[in-house]
Amino acid sequence: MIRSTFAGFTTAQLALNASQRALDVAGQNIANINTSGYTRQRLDLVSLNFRSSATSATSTNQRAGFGVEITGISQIRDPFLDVQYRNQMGKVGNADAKQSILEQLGDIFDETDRDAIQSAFNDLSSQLQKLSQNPGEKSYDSATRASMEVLLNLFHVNATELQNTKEMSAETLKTTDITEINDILSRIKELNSSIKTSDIIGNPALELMDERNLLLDELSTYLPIHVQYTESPVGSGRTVSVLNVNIQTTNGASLSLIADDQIGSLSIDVEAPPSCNVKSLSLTTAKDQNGNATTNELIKDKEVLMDGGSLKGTIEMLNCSGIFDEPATSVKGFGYYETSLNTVVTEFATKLNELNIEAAKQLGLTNPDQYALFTKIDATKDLDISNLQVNPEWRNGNISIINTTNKNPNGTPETTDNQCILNLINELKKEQSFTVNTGTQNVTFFTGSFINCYSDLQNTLAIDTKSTTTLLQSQMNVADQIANSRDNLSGVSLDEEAISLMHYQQSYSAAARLMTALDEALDVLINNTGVVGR
Amino acid sequence: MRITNGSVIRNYKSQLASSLSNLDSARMQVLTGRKFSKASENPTAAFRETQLYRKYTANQDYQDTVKDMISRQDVQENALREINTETQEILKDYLVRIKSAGITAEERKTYATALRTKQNSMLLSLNSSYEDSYVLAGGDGKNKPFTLDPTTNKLSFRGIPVTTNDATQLSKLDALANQKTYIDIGFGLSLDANGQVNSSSAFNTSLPGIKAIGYGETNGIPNNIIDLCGEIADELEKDDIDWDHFDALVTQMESTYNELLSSITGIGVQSKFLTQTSERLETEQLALTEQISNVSEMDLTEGITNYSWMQYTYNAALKVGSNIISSSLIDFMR
Repeated sequence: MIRSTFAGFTTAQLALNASQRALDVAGQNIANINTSGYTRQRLDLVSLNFRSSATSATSTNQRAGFGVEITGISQIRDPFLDVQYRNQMGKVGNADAKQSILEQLGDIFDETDRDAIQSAFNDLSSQLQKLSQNPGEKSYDSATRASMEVLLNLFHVNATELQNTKEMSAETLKTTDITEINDILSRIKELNSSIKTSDIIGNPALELMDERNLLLDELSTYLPIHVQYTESPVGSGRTVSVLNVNIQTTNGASLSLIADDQIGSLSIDVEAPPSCNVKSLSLTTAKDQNGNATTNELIKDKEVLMDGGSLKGTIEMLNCSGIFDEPATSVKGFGYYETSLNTVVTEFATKLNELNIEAAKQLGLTNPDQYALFTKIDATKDLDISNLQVNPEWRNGNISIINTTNKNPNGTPETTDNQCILNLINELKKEQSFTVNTGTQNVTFFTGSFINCYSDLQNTLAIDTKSTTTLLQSQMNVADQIANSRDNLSGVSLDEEAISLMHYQQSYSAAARLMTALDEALDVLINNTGVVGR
Repeated sequence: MRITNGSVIRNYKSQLASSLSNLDSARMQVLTGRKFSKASENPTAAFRETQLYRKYTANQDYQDTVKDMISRQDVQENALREINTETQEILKDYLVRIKSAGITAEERKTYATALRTKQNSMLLSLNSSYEDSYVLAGGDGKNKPFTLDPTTNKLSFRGIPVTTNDATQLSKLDALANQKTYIDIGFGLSLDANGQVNSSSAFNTSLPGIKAIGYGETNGIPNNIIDLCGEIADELEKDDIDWDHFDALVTQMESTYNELLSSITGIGVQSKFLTQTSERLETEQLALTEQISNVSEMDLTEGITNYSWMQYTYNAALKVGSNIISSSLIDFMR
């Protein structure tokens, strides 16, 4: 085979070029070592040689290659790890949303480090005990009344804080979360078209893909997404990769959220305070090839039809009341704690009222109903915590706790008998049945004394918080491990890049030396050959 | 396995944060002296602690009640002892002298006056009070229970004449004498089906005076000491004493006196019971204190050791950090 004289120069030139480009890539990697979401890049080199048999090939095999060709720069990324990571972040998002709400509830109800309802209740018991020893003494009656006022105030505070927390969560959901999701979707759409355009031109747009992956990671904490890359033909036999993102619902449907350059959107409908229930979370899918999009409701029977994501966590805490829902839901959200608290307090007020009114009736006092110890603030509304107050007539001294229904021989009530006060003490200690009407059924959720019911509420919250925190911790550990695996594959290692620098620097020097050697060889040929007799 | 700077730093950050968080919770344990500061850290222990505290405050309440009751019972007992002393003086001293030979009608009249004085002083004892309420009044302690009618000189208890044979009045007196006023001192107060307190589940503080000094009449003779005194005085003031009637009165007084003694003994028994209850409650308080301490308190030795160890681990983590993050091959290249 005849070798072209200047062929070696091309080889050297290609070698220099490749080394130079490799140094650039190493430089790029080092510069981006702290960029979040950055995937390390690598130069793809292929060795150049004939692809077919040459007509002038000799029988002896002396074909050397013609150098190195750069086929492109690629990222080192494992899509399977991405899938695992996003699935895991969906779970983390769900647990995190629940745990942050439960922690706020814990700040309201947890009394481990402060004196609140439990000690107010203990104080009430003490006052009643003193009253039973000194029946008919106005000062002890006033002290008991003051104690009840303190207790009721504390219950009011709890109920108010609970309502505030609920409203804040609903507000954040409406204004921040949904807006952010829709914003992420539109940014992904922009990136999709940029990446596709670049890909068609031949530029792989690696940095844009990194940015898109970061956005997908963020989206996965809100919704459990399913990412797919499909090859779409762009003519002349070439294909480019396009992104499709779906959401799988728990009833088997697969809704398209992103389809190439079409995106869907989410919208939410939250009821006004005080209920703050999320009535609907609807997903309008991305338009398909025929330009059709569907709107799908993601909330059914108060639960969200997805199996992960922080939206699910927040919405279920806002909507669900556990066993007080019909049909019963599995999440004990705001509604559960509101209903339990309300039931305890209204039962407490009702039972104590009944006892005093009954005593007034037996004594034959005029208008026995005015002897209620607790009254509604607004008589037109239902009885609940916010509408309850200690009877103002009690504070004015017009009524008091009736100490006994036993009468003297002359018909006046006995002054130091304490029968009715003992009834009150007994009522506070005895077992009550706490029942809630959930619509068509009556659910008895606790049997025990008033204060035990409240303790049970606190205990349920504590147990829920602990288990959610533990779950969140373990989910995050798994997520960390997956993130580590991803990093170990796609992250930049300074040591490696340093070695690459040395490596390519040497190869650059070697290529330059090759150039020099060829130059000298040709110099001999061109300038110093055939000068005989010159 | 390939290790990158990114993963090294991320892992270091999260481990350092977790080490710092452990240090912080160890510090909290030492500062507060408690094993847990939030119910969610240990729900079972938090629940148990609430229950124990409730029992503890109830125990304190019961102890205060019992002390108060003991004082009240003392007043009741003193009142009855005063009556006892007076009655004893009448029976053992006056009546013996009256029956002795050679006593003149004038001297008898002197004794009659003395007896009437004794009536009034016993009346005062019957109307003793403790902290604004009359201790021998049963359920109507704000009103003076016993009155002596100035004209008829007869005793009334809460408006009803004590010496009576009228069936309605007697049944009322029966009811008043057996009236009970209960106090909860930790025996598991419970009500029966009719809404009345079960007597074994509470302590009865009421001692209606007529139960101690007698009420009603037997064969025309009053049962109660006050009216008996009055009738004996009436008899003594007569010029012509009916000694049989006199003896019958004295016999009745002796029998009522024995009832009075047994009432006093009854109070004594109750007082002893209260003292024992008080001791039991104190023991229970100690037991509860210990239980609460076991559930929620941190053993200080363990707490401080833990804290020191966490501090050491944290410092070690900080030292490690400065080593692993800084160097790489680039530092060593020419």
